[in-house]
Amino acid sequence: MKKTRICARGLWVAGVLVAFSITGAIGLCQIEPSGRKAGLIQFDVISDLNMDWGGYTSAVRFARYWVCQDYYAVAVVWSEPHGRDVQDKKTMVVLSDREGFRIKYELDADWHPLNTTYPKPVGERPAFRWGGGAYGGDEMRFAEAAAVSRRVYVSDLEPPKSKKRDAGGVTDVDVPRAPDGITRKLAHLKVQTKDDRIESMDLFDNQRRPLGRMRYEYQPDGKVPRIATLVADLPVRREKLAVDANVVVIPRHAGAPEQKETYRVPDVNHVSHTGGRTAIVTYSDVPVGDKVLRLPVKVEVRRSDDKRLVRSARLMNFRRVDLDKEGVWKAAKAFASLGDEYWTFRRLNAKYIDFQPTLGPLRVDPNDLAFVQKLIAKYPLPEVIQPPGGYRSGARPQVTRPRRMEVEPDDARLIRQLEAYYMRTLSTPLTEEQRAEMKKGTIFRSGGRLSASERPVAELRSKLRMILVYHHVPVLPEDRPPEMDPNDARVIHELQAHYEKLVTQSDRGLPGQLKALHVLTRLDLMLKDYDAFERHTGRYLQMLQDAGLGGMYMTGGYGNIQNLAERRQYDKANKLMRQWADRSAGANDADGVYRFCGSDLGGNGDPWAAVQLLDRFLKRPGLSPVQRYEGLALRAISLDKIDKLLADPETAYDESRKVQAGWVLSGTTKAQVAKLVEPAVRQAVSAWEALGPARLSEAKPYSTNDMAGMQQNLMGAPDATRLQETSARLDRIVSQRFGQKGTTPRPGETKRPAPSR
Amino acid sequence: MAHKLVSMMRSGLFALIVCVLLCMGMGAVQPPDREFLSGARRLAEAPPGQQAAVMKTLHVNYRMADVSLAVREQADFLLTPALLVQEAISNGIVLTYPEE
Repeated sequence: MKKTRICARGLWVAGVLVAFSITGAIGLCQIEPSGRKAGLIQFDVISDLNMDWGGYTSAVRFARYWVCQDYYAVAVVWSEPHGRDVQDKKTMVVLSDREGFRIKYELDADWHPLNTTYPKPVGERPAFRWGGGAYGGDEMRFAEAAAVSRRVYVSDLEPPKSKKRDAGGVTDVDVPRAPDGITRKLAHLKVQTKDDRIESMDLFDNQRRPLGRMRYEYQPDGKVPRIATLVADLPVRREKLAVDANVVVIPRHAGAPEQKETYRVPDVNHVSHTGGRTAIVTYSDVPVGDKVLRLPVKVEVRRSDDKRLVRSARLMNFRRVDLDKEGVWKAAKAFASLGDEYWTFRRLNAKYIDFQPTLGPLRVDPNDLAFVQKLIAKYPLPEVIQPPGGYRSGARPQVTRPRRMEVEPDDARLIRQLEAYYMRTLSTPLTEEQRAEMKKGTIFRSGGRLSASERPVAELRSKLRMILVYHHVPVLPEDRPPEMDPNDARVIHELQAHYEKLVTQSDRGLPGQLKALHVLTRLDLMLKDYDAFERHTGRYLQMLQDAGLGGMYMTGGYGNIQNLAERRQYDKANKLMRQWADRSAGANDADGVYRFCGSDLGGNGDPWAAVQLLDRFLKRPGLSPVQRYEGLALRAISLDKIDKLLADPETAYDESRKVQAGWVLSGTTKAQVAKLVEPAVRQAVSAWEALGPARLSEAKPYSTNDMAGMQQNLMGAPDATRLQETSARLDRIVSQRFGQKGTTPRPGETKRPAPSR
Repeated sequence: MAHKLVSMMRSGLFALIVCVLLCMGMGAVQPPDREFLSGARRLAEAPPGQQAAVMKTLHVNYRMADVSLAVREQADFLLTPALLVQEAISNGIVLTYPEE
């Protein structure tokens, strides 16, 4: 009896052990790569962002993150160059959990869309309504929703018996509903597995259109597979652009009378992520508290077609923190906050550096349009005359360029006042209803959508603006910043002491130190202490160099050189520029240097800096023929620009150009520059001719920058690449200097008559 | 004649079966839409006969939108590190790359 009882107990224990071991095996044998719960983790990220546009071509964003399974928070503490970014995101704080997407932006605390909580689900992203570089940061919530909607869960891949697996180890999976009722964009998977680990995975939507392909590489050592890299190939993406327009067309039917037909076009199809994207995420073992976690430490996103780097991020300083959700929100706000001293600095900066003159009350009736038109007529503006046959003819429109005139001081004041008045009229505040709509993300009010009554006002404003840009406008007494107030001088010295301490505090990290150095250099400018400015710039550049931020060394460093040149500190500017050009040429690749040299906030705006940089960069061995040609072309374009600036005293009248001309002439002469231009153009043309077939394809002189959007639509002209735009600019210089006309081919053509030498 | 007709029908049926099998072999996964590939991208919500005319008359500056789309990518990248780490420290999620 006793024996039977012992036997039964033994069987029970054995059964329990077997059950435990099976449960344990199920838990341990999870498919790789997949996540493992690990509490709340804090870490820092430096993101390096590259842009091909007229603005900053390189930006760096510093942010701190708090992440756990149920929510995450982000706090942007600083950005470069000099507190700027692709968008100014410093002080932005986000907390996202199951209930909502909370956002706060201290820099613009009254702007409702960036200081609110969007309840979840946030819904579908509306058609894209932004243009010209604008974008509502609150729309990030849709990016998060899209990411979550295409997440793959381990449960999607189980149980294996219901899935079809072919001989090559590829399993077809129709994904079920997501846990917690999350909307899923992901509908189908093709998974290639080997030994319980995923080798690759193709993601599709419900129409079997590809969403992306994930490829995984694992650490070769160890029994448990550990992910080393995730490579994501992301295709060109469909995009709806909101146009919300009525279009009137006259259909041509043979024999039928012409009758107008109106169509409503709410949006049009478009693409984003042109060229596709390839994202590479590197994973590593990271000690966090008493555990070692496999975490992403580096992200690189490149264009898939030409492999150019679009952005990257470094993740660091991982640590476990013990906070609840509200504690995280509080910590994030405190971390991103600029602090009282910074706001004091901003007040002084607005008073002495970014000074906005007050022009006094408007003394004419802005509704007297006849008077305003008469004022505009006094200063003729360039006019674009379309060729006979319009855009379709393919001929270049003619531009009349009237003589630049001296604007009388009283007229200058009046024009500026009227322009500001009309601008305010066109930017009427939003109604409560519009605010509510904006919160839902369903409207975007842009200056482009004007009522019929607003259009004439907008046209007048545009012409007034053009007068200020085209003609010689005198500096008014009101334009000069005020003399330094002794009380402000005392506050500036207090701020200097405060920020000097912060620069040396390594616990503030790189962003804290860069922020402190930025404030110090601006305070130096307020006090006109250029020795201190030079010293602080040296430290700033050293920090960027030590952090491996070559793009920012070039972009941010150039900003400081420009500050010195604008204040006519030419010796200091030249000394700094030599160091800057040497190191920037060494620390950046061809794409980075050429992006900077073609940008309006870089070499295109300052051809002298571009020439210095390119002179050094072109000595680098190993440049491909196309890279060498692009560099030589940009150098020739920059030299041509300087030559024209120095040769034409009229264009040098403008204050910034005058400064630029003075700076160039502090290091060389007009004759020396003139001597350099033609050989530089010939050298660039020779490099182009030596490209072989690429000169009529990749490097074909072709521009869409010069075309109006409407003209491009009518011609169905594809967008020109950066290299083609550069070739077109060089082509125009060749036409001007060597008398060749009409060398730029039309979109469908490939022929470009070579300049005769 | 009848024999020829039967032969043609048999060939047609065979071709149809081959097509179906080929489609199944492809996993019925569609290639990326042609109109979304670079260069060709403009479609309007208008009757097919009028689409081209409407699109040519429409005042849309695609280049302006392209600049903002590039800015959007970089702006939305702010969330990417959070989403990547969240996947790595959450039970039951396969590691993937989020959209931005």
